[in-house]
Amino acid sequence: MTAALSIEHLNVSYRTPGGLVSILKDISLTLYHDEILGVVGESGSGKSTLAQAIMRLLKPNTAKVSGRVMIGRKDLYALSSKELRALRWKDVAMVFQSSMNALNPVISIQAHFFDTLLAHRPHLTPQEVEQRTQYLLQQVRLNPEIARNYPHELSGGMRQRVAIALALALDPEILIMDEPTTALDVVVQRSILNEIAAIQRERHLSVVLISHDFSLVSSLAHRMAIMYAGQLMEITESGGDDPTSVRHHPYTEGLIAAIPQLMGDQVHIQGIPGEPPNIAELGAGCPFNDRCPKRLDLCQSTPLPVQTAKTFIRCHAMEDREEADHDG
Amino acid sequence: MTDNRVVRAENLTIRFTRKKMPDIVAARSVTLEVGEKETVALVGESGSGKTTMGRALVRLLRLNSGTLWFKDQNVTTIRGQSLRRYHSQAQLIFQDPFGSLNPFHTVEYHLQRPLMKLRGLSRRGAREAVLDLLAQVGLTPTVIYRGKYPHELSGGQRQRVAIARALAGEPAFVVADEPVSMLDVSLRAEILTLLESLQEQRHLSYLYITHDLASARYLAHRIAVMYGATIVEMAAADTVVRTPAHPYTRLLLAASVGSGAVALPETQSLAPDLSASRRGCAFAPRCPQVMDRCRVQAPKLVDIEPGHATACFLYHDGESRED
Repeated sequence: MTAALSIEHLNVSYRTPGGLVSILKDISLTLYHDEILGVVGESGSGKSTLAQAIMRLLKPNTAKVSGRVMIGRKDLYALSSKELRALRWKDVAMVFQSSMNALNPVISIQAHFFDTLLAHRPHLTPQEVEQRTQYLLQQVRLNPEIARNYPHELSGGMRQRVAIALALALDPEILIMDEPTTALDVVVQRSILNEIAAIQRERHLSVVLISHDFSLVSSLAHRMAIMYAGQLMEITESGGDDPTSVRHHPYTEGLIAAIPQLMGDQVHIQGIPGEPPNIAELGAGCPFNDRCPKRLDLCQSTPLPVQTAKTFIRCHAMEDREEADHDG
Repeated sequence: MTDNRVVRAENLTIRFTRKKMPDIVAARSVTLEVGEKETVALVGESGSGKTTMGRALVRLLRLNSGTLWFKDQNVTTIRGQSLRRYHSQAQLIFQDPFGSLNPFHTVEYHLQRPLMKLRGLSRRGAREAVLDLLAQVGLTPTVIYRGKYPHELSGGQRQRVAIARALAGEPAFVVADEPVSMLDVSLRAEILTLLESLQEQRHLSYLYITHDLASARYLAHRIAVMYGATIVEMAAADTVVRTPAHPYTRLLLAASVGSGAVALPETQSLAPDLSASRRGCAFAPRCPQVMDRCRVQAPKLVDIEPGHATACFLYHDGESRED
């Protein structure tokens, strides 16, 4: 497997009146070719900041960023703004939850495709743009005739499909999706996710799928990165076909136990006690320690280990078990 | 259906009038019953009429036609003092814990008002009762939470305040309208299990409104599936998930995470027609098993087996009903 995008030691702090507040702490993560990498985290875990940092969308006057984001041999943070503009959307495209509201209300859907395509491929003729628009709309299962419509004439689901079609317009290899279907109804959400999965398979795209919805991501992703309070807690080796069969970080286990199952024998659900911490007031130890059922004395003050198990899990409590496994 | 019914809506129709536009019928002759200590989940997509039904059942809306019963009392058109008494018995928990609390007032203020107005306590009595309520919803130490403002609380804590407020009048029936959909996954389970234990302690009946079949199956005894202002299927929670009958229920199930389905059984994705002039089944335009009569006649909700009702001609054996 080759890397499509790799994030190396990414740190992000926001500048606030009270000084710098560290949001992302030393995130290293690789997106491989032809895979869907799910990123799961609760509100305030830093997952949207991660999406924006990947695309270098954070403004230097509001956020301080260190580390590297590599696409092939290019470090996004070392590019000039002109090089960056050429790369965005062509190599890496984005779909956000609010994308459907980012469509310009006073121009038609067709005009959006003209804007996007001609900005990067000025040599295209109007006929070519129209043909391409038809093709892209069909890809996301929209009737090509809606190209003549204006955004307000379409439903939320249709507009989000248009946003996805726009993201695919320049044949990007990498797609960053931050809560792409969160505001949509269950059926619409599933049908859009099915199409994302089909397009990913067909085009061998590399997709980062960011969401708060653990079960939704696990149904789609090939691997999952679990974030908590700005840190990466675990990267699973597989999607969620059978999430109970392998060992997980205590936080991930807590998430799995908290979700009611649709099928199967009814099991009890159990919430994670407490609340996510205030990211500005974190101590040096594991951010999950005060809610963790497996907490050890050292968890409160000792920074998280880099990787404790054979798989990527960062947990003091699981470190011991792994060593014991080796000894035995 | 249930012997000890607490709330029963009979042929309830709610119509919203709009300026220069045709009326919207958000609930079309809906019959629904919630028994003592029972949880009925009302599941459907946005615009299906589930929130309208919830508000109608606690009489926050005017009912255009049909009858609403609370125990033996007809509460369809009650006003003034009797409506206030009904509101102490039937309460609502809103979806948005950020919008449903007044940012200018403390937790205590939010709970004191219903304690005084619905339960008739004195200010001093209410102060005591506030602490009691806070303890019941798990906001301890209660003396600290009493003085907090909404912005000092997290989403989960705010929703606990909203639950405490709904309980202040000592209701028998609570409508919970998507109470966890705006909360983080790790907090949802805590609120759902809190609702469960409160039901046990206080003998509450719930109407749990949600778009999420999995949590409906978890919390509810029975599930009613709503589509296009009508109930299309109603059965024990397990039955709906294991042996769904109506094509819309099957579509909803296939779209839910964990169903294992690959394809979605629908012909096209369209919003249902909510106009008063609609004919036939609301789901007909999307239904893969649509028949000619579905487009002209609306199927009635009938039992296909004891305790399992659906409104679909696939299950009506040859009979023809005029609507």
